[in-house]
Order: sequence, then structure tokens, then C-alpha cells
Amino acid sequence: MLSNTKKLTVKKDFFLNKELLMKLAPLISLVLLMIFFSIGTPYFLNLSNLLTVALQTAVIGIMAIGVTYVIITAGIDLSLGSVMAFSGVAVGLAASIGLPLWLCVLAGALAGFLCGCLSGFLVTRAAIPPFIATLGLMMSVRGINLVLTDGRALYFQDYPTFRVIAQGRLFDLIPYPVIYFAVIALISAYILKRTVIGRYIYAVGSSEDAAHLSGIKVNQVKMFVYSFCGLLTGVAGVILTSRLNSGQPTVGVGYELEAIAAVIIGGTSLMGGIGTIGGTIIGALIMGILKNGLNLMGVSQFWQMVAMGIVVVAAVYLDTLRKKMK
Amino acid sequence: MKFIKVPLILTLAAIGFGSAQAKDDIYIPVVSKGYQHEFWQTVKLGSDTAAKELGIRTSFVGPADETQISQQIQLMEDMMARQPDAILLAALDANALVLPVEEATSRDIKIATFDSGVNSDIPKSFIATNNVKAGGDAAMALGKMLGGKGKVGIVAHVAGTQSAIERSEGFINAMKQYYPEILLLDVQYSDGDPQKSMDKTIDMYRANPDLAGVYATNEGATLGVGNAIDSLNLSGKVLVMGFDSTEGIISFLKSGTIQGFVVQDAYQIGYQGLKTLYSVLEGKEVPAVIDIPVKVITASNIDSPEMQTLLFPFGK
Repeated sequence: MLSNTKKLTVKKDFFLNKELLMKLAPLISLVLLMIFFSIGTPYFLNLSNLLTVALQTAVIGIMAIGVTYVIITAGIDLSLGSVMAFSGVAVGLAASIGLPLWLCVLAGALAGFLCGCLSGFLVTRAAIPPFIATLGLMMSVRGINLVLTDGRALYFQDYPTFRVIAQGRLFDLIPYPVIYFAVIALISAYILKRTVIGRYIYAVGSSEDAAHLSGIKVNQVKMFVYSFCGLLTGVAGVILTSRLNSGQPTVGVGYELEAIAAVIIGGTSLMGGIGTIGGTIIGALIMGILKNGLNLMGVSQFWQMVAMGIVVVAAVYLDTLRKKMK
Repeated sequence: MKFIKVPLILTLAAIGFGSAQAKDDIYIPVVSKGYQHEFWQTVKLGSDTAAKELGIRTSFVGPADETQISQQIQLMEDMMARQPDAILLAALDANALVLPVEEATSRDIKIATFDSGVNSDIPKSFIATNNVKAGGDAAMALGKMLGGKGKVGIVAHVAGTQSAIERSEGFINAMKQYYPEILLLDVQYSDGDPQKSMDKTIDMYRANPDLAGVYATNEGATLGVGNAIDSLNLSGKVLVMGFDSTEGIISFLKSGTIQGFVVQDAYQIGYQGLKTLYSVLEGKEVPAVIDIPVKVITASNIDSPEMQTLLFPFGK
């Protein structure tokens, strides 16, 4: 009898641990990946390279934070890549008519915000499925970028300080985009965890009907997540534009999928209701480190694409395992 | 994570130190505009061969397509993290890539550009096909075939692009200088589209039944002109000089529909690029611009071993 109960508790402990293990899977993968590359290449583990990874991850990471909100409501946003290019074009156009620098930057962020509002409008008022609405936007916005610029890049000769936004470094060490990334992550995590709208986002994702019945204005919540995602994409677009020192109408193709992949790797469920900003950041870092590390090890780019795909599928497989255990 | 890092840094520092001491070799990676197309793979073949001959290390990376400027910047950053001695770069955007090039200089990494340069004085050398000269070579070959007489049309690719302007102007200037009796028609633009190029050529022939020759400035234009000549049954009556090499163009040459075409020497671009940077590291002076000459392929030289390796660097 006694030994039996003992066995049971042991089993239970084991289960709890496994569940904990699953929850921590993204973080553990990140650490393992870092150890692997540290051993694999002498160039990986030094401050200068780790800051480079953080810099490279910042743009995708900021977009991924935005789209985490959308995915938690069981939505999706495929327009990110086009919208971020649109934001860059907006900065370029504002610069070409000679607006002051801060207004150019604002124009870029606002351009993203407006696209997000449009997505939100299409999803809520017009009741178009998010996949279709944002797919349409992805194509049209890309077209608009080309129309507005005639397919050519816009440059900022008259704004020599513009490049400081992404090229500058705090204390001559930490790249500014990494700081924006960190600040945006903290604010977004706070909104999601500690505010009413944050709790509503989870509620809408868990069950739209239940959320509606309990008095949550579902459409307002959705409008909020899409426009928030648009705003962050606009910010990411401004950073990228500064990094490229030019407004490129064709930039960002496929970025939406990279951002979505980061969100999924971080343990957010495409079915909605589950997900954290911390997870997304880990997901984005896993993608960034994988790319950087494989480049440093000199792995062929054909194989890099294979590796990326495997990581995304493995992450989702872990997620289904986690659900099965519950 | 911090706890893991400290011992790791120590072991790695040891490993890194050890390997740095053991292998004091030179490393020059190539950051290209792409890697999937045959042109870039041929450049890689050239740079790999040069590295082998010099006994140095190299690697070849490039973005997935020619719009991925930020990916190319990341590749530059990743390559710089590998602490190379120099980097050979083909810039996707002449302005956007200036920043990583400046960064490389601050880390004492030498830069040379190939195929497409950057708007900066930093790169030690620029290694590329000289399109003006290539156009001139095409003019010399076609002028000779025509015996220095007759009407010649030009079907260029995209209006306003650097390569179309240079290839046409080089052709026109050389014709005027060496074959002044040849009458040049106005340049027609085909957007590099075989269909449009075919239509323009047919119209050109209708308007000028005494047309003696046509020069096409890229792959699509050449295919279109070839198709037009073939459909009008003018093979051998209107002589065609094309640009770039594909299987379609090679078979046009073999069937006598076109008389020749210009090929860029991608292999030499990669080969010379790496050798030039090596000279820079040795402290030698290198020319600011290195022209890689093109080759004009005709029926009489296509089967020579030299042209065969140029046309089929990877074998048939």
C-alpha cells in the first residue's frame, strides 16, 4: 500500500516535470543551440557577434511581437512584409518633400498603423477571414509601393542623421534597434499580461462566442490587435529603412512568414488563446541564431533553408505533444 | 544562462586561441548578389579555383534573390564576424551596402567589389564586365561579317538601365569609328522580353527590307530576334549578333539563325576578384577598375575547348 502511493507520486512528479520541460522547450532549445554553435565555431560566442545577432533579430522580432497579439486571437496577418516596405516608402516620400526628420519617422510608423487599421476593418466590419483579408493586403500594398516609387529605391541624401536610428549604438556598444526591441517587448508583455485588453485578447482567442457572451466587444479587441500589429510593423519598417539607408519598395518579401514562424516556435498556438511575448522573443532569437550560426560555420544556404523548415515543424510537433499530455 | 556562459567562454577562448595560433591562414569570403543562378555559380567556380591556387580559404554566400538587400547586409555582418582578412562583394544596392563596407573598414577588413559596386571610395578595386567594351566587341565582329556595309538595327533590353545604355553606346561608337559606312537604325527597346523583341524585329524588317544585320543586347532580346529571323526565313540574309548564352541561343547559332553572341566571363570575374584582393593583402597596388573582357562566340570558334569551358563551366 505504502509503496503503491509512493509510486503514484513519483509518477505524478515525473509527469509534472515533463510538462514543465515541454513548457520550457523553446528556452532549452535556445540554450542548446547556443552551446552547439559555441562549440561548432570560434566566432559565435563573443559580445560583438551576439550583439550582431540581436541587431539582426530586432526587425523580425518587433513584427513578431505584433503578430503574436493577432495569432492569440486566432487571427493571422500575412501583410507584414509588404506593410513594412510601405512604411519605408512613406518615410522616403516624406523625406522627398522635405519634411523634418521626426515627421518622416512618424509617417513611417503611421503608414504601418493605417494598414493595420485597414486589416482590422476588413476582418471585423467586412467579416472577411483574416487569411484572405491580409493576403489581399499583402499583394495590393506591394503593388502600391511599386506605383508610388516607380519601382525604384528612395534615398536620404538630405538626412545624414537618419541612419543613426538603426546604425547608432548606445555607449558605442549596444545597437539602438536592440534597445527598441527590448522596450517594445516589455510594453507589449505588460499590456498582454496585466491589462484588461490583454486578458480580452486571450478570451477572444480561446472562444469568440464565450467572450462575446461575457460582454467583451470582440470586434474592438480585434481592431486593436490588427492596428497594434500594423503600428509595430511600421516601427520595424522605419528601423529597416534606416538600416538600409533607403526606402526599398521590394524589401521584406517573406518576412511575414519568418515572423509567424518565430511566434510558432515560441509556443503560441495558431488556434488562438495561448501564447506569450517571452516565447515569441525566444522564437525570434532561435531563428536569428540559427541563421547566424550556420553562416559562421559555413553551412551551404541550401541546407540552411532545410534546417529552418525542420525547426518550425519540430516546434509545432512539440506543441501538439504538449496538448496531448493535457 | 549566465552560469553556462562563463565556462563556455573560457573553453572557447582556449579553443579559439589554439586554432588561431595553429592556422595563420588567410580567409576571403565572397558575398554575392545571388547563388542559385548559373552566372553566380560560375563566379563561385572562379573564386574557389583562385583560393585553391593561392592556398587560402574562401566561402560563397548570397541572398535568395536580388531584392533581399537586408539579407545581404546580414550576410556581410555574419561574414565579418568570422574575422576575414578581406571580403569580395557584389552589391545589391550601391547606397545601402555602403554602411557594412564602412564597418568592414573600421575592423580592418579589405573590400573589393565585383559585378556591381558601391558608392564609396573604400573598395580597393572593382572587377566586372565592361559593357561599353562588350558592345564594341559585338560591333567589330558584326561589322566584319557584313563587310563594312549595310543597315543595322539594335534591339536593346530595358530602356534606361545602365547595362542597356552601355551595351548600345559601346556598339554604336565602335561602328561609327571602324565601320562608318554602316547605317545604324534607332535603338528599339524590348524590355528583354522575347515576344516584344520578336515583334520589334519583324516591324524593323518590314520598314527596312534591305536590313543587313541586327544586334540584340541581352538574353531575351537575342531569343526574340532569333525567333523573328527564323519565322521570316531570313537565316543568313540578316546577320544577328546576340548577347548572353543559353541553350536556346547556342542552338540558334548552330542552326545558322544567328551568327554570333557575346558571353561574359563569370569565371574570370570570380577568379580575378579573389586574386586582386590577395594582392591587396600582400600590400601591392591594384588597379581601381579591372575589366573582364567578354568573348564573342561564332560558329567557327564555338567548338574550341576554350569556348566550350566558357559556355559549359560545369560540363554538359
